[in-house]
Amino acid sequence: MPTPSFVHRPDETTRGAWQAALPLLIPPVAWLASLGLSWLLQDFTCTASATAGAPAPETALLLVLMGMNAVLLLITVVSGFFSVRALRAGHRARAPLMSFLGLSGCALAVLFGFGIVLIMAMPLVLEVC
Amino acid sequence: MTGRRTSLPVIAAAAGAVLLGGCAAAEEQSPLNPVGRSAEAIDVHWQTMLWTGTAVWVIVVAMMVATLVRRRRKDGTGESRGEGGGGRAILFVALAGAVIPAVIIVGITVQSVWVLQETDPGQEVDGRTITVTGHQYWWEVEYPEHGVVTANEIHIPTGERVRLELTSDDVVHSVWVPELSGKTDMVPGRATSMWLETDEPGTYWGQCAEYCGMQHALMRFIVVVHEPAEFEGWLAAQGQPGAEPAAVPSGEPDVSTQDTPAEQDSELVARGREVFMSSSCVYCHAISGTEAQGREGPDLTHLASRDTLAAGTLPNNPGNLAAWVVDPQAIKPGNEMPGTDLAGDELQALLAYLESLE
Amino acid sequence: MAQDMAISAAEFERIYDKPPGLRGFFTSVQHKAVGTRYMITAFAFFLIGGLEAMLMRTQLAKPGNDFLSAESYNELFTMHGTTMMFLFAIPFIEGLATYLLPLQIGARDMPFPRYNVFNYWCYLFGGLLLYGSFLVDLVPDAGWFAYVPLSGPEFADKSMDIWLFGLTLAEIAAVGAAIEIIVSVLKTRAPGMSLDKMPIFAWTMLSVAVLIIVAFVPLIVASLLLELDRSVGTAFFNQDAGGDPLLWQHLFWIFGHPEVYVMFLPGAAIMSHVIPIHARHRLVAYPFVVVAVIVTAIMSLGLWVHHMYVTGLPPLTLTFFTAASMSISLASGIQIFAWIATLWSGRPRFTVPMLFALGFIITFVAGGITGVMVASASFDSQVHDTYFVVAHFHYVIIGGLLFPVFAALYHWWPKFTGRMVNDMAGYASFALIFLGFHLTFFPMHLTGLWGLPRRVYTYDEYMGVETVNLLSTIGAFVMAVGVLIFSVALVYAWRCGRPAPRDPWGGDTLEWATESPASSSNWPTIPVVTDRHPLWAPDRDTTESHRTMRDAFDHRPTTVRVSPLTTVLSASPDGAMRLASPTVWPLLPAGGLIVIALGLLLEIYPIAFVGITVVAIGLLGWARKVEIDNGEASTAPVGGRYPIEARGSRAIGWWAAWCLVAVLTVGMATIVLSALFLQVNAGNWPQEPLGAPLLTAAGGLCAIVGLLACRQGSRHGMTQHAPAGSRRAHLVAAGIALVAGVVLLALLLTIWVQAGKDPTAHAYDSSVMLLLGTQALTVLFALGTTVAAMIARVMQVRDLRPALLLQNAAIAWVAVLIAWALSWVATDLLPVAVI
Repeated sequence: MPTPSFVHRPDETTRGAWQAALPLLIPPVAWLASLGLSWLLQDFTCTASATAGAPAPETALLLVLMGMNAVLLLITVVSGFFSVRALRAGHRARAPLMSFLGLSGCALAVLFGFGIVLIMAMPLVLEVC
Repeated sequence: MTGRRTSLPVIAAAAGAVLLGGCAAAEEQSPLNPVGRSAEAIDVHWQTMLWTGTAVWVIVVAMMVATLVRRRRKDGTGESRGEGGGGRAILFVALAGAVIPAVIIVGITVQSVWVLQETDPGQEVDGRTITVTGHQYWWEVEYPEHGVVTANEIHIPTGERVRLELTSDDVVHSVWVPELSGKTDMVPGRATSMWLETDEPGTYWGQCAEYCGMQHALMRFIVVVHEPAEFEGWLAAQGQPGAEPAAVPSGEPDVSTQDTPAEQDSELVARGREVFMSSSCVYCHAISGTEAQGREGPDLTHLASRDTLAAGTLPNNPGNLAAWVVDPQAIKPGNEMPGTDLAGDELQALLAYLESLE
Repeated sequence: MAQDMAISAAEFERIYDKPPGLRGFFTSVQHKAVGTRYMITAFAFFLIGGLEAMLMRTQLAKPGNDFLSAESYNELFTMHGTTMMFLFAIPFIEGLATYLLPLQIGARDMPFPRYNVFNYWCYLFGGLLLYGSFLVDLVPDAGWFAYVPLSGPEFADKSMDIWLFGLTLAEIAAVGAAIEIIVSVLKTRAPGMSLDKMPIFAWTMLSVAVLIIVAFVPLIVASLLLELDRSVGTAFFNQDAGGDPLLWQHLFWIFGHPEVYVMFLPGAAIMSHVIPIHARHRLVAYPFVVVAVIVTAIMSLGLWVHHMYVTGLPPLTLTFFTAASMSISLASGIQIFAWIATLWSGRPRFTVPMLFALGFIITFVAGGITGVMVASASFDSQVHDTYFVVAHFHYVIIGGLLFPVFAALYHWWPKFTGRMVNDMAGYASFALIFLGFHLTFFPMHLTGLWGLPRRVYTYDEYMGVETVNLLSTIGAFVMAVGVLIFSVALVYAWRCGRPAPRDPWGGDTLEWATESPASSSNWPTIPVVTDRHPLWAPDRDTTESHRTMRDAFDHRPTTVRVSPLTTVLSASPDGAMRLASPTVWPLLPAGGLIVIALGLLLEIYPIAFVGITVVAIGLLGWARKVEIDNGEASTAPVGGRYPIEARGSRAIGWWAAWCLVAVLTVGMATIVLSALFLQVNAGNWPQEPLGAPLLTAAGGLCAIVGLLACRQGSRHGMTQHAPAGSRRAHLVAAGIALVAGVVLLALLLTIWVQAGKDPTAHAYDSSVMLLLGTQALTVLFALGTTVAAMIARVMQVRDLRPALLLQNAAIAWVAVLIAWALSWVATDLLPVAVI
């Protein structure tokens, strides 16, 4: 007879629900922001400069790209860190839902973090415009 | 037998990979026969990915086959419905599914970026510039520094990185000469460019690679690569105005004296020139040095010097030219050129004139 | 109360039975009926699309063939792609989800059965409209990707308009189905089915539904822009007037790439059910598979530029998308190895679904590997738009979707029909389909590498591709024979197959606990879930609250259709939802839409006005019918404790309303980004704001007034024991919101007239028109919800229901506010802020 597991009900309160769900939502949003904003800033700025016949602010753009991606990566990592805590707490409390959310949050943070690093590396290798 | 079973995918994949990579490419127009600088760089990248990819496929399928073989060794005692995999199984999934692929794709991405930098079609080049304009369904090729306009043939010298500036007159087209370079689109209202460079003289086939309407299939062209000296000669010849028929002796030709064949010919050519200039041809076609200045269709100044007709559809010979002029819609339905209803002798004269445009 | 008296099982089922005969065809709304229709219609379109492929392969069997004319060939490949993507793959998946989800998660129906059937009608009419093009000999021929200018006013005839209208109807259906799926998965799971115990199919359909909302709306917008360019003469894609043909490519592929994953992910989900059951082992690494599904869904949104590698974009732009395209392969890797580990741990049986699953792995892995290759921008410049890509995506789509669908049909046919399908026919068809497939598509890699571009109706013999093309043609016919045997076997089994038990395969998920086919109600007794694989787990202790819910719903309620609601994360008992009963009303608005489309296509505008009237009458009648159905007696709390009407996120209407806000926001954001894209690309974009600051500000004020009025009104009567006067408060609130809406519409019109813009002159003017127009559309949406609340107020005696509808209206007004703000950004802020 398995030990009955602790019934973990994070969604009893709105705050609890958000707390449980956020580590699953943050990494995807961060990655989308990383790709979307990198593309938007780089492509649109370069195109706008080219259209206007002005020199593109390449250095500034590079710094903005690096800074923005670094912040997004940091957010992803922090979210992963909270997931690790949830995973541990879930194991301790024998709360499968909490463990599941924790483990998924970790894996999401790792995969999307990897994606952000790959995107972030590109402006270092190639010319910005 | 695990050995024999797992060898199946190996054989299948090896056969596939050899077919894909090793097998002699077809006669022409294949990126597997790289001759240009850009195509060569891409080919190296392709070979890496082909063999890496084949290895990955073989390993995955072999693993899958192994899982099926394993079943036979166990005796079927009861239904095994264990937990959703222990720590080892999960670790295996993470390693094989994410960590190892991550290493592989980082490698491939690095090579990809490196090759992209090398082959970047938009990069600055030090060679000459040629403008190529896409039309439904043919190519206009212009050498702006030399005032040369031709069609469906791009001539370049060896050893020079030549820049092609691409635009489109109507819809999206795409310039692709597989043996020399990857493709670049022609988008109306946007300026795109690509470059070609090779040390091998020869003729290379190209084709429109973006669906552009009914005759997308028959929108081809050739790139002719010359030694530099030969190229300069070609360029000079193309810079000349269209050939004029030799002067016809004035006055009524003497009926009793037999015209020489050359005189007969030049007479025919001259008549053909008149037919051309007085027909609707001039609305669409230009012949440099004459009053024909239409820009809707290909420039015909040196038509007879070209290898193909109708954008690579037919070899350029008198029979094909006649067939094309009489009924282009039968050969290439949907193209812009209407047929002609010239009388037989007028047609002969017209063809003679066109054939004279060396 | 009546519903507390126990009734017999047969009597209980009768509540859920669909009406018999022809009436049933037009009125039944239950998910099994709708799902079946989706799947049958989609499969019919699949066979038609396959026939088109056969004709094309016949033409390409030898060089210079004249079996088809250039024109017919172009029409066929356009319709083949359009059919397979929009009329087969997506609707089939939606049909499968519509049928299966309630069974798998323990619900009695989907949350909005009537909306479900409305979507089906839209899809059916869209498909019929597209194929109507054959009757009038105006078959679209600009390719399924319809690049402008080839599809624009200058180069394409009326056939393109048919394509755009047909497609948009099918898209509206897809977006609707997505909303249905989201609410269904989040709120209607059986008690105890917390997120960690949810079937992979439910996880996947949830992700896919989100994907559909984010990705399909841009295509609807793109279709709208193109149709405006074609019929009104706007300049969105006209490069001579500030437009840009490349905008279409961006919008199309922002839809088009996720679309691939909308197809593949459900295919993979089917595998995650077929493989464990037929290998008799739990899915290994379930959490990672869930993560892989989420990662795939999200990353698929960021791959679209890899369809545009050769359009001359700067290298850095390309490599962002190379990075994304490469990253997504990790997610597929995780799934593949999870299945392999499951096979390894279990004892695989070589059933027909299992064979298709193995065929899937072999094929999809190959397609994935060529996918990594074409993700490399430099290599793609060689193979883009060649047969190599044709080979690649058929490996991915046939391998990744069609094989799973065939596995699914064999696997779930007993559940759908109560009959087993013949095994021998299954083995034979698998062999033919698998071998035929590889014989068709493996040589295409070579065809492409030897230089043959796609979409060519003929090729020269000296290209050296005639042998590979002949092989492909032979393979295609072998595959076609396999599909034929498969289809015949299914039909035969449906008519006279061996009767199937409840659980022929020894399955793990809830659907195998229902009868085959499931009874009308699905679940006379609501299941309580304590394990990820409920049918494989020993009976565990259920918690008190779960048991209470089960007892309350045991053959109850006895007069109306009701299903339980649970919380989003832990699936704890939360309430109940009233399920709609059969009615013909949803057919009317869908029929009205097709009439509008026909009126516009024929350019006989009175017909379009008739259509608009039909839509309006349909919606009003529908709303009235809803209020009649939701009388006091039929909305009493189930078992006295599970309320059918609850406020906030406990109500399914709240979720659906926010989904609609998301749809509208994505649409508006797409338009704003399009304007920004055009602005940075055009040299002659105006550099001053629209110049109606007061009117614009007043518009924003109206939106806020509408929002606050509805919000304030909804606070009255939220509890059962409301103070008197709620009726008046509701009417006043709705009235104020109505006035605000009408004023806002008038303001928008005034701004447009005052601005004196000519939408045909410049893309900026076109954008202004569209932004104001779309704003007006969101206002109409908010007005619609407000009117619905008003109808409820007038028809209901109690206060709770109108209060809830006012709450939904308030959410709709949020959409108006968002639309207003985004529109302001595009018309006034961006021209000043961006060079």
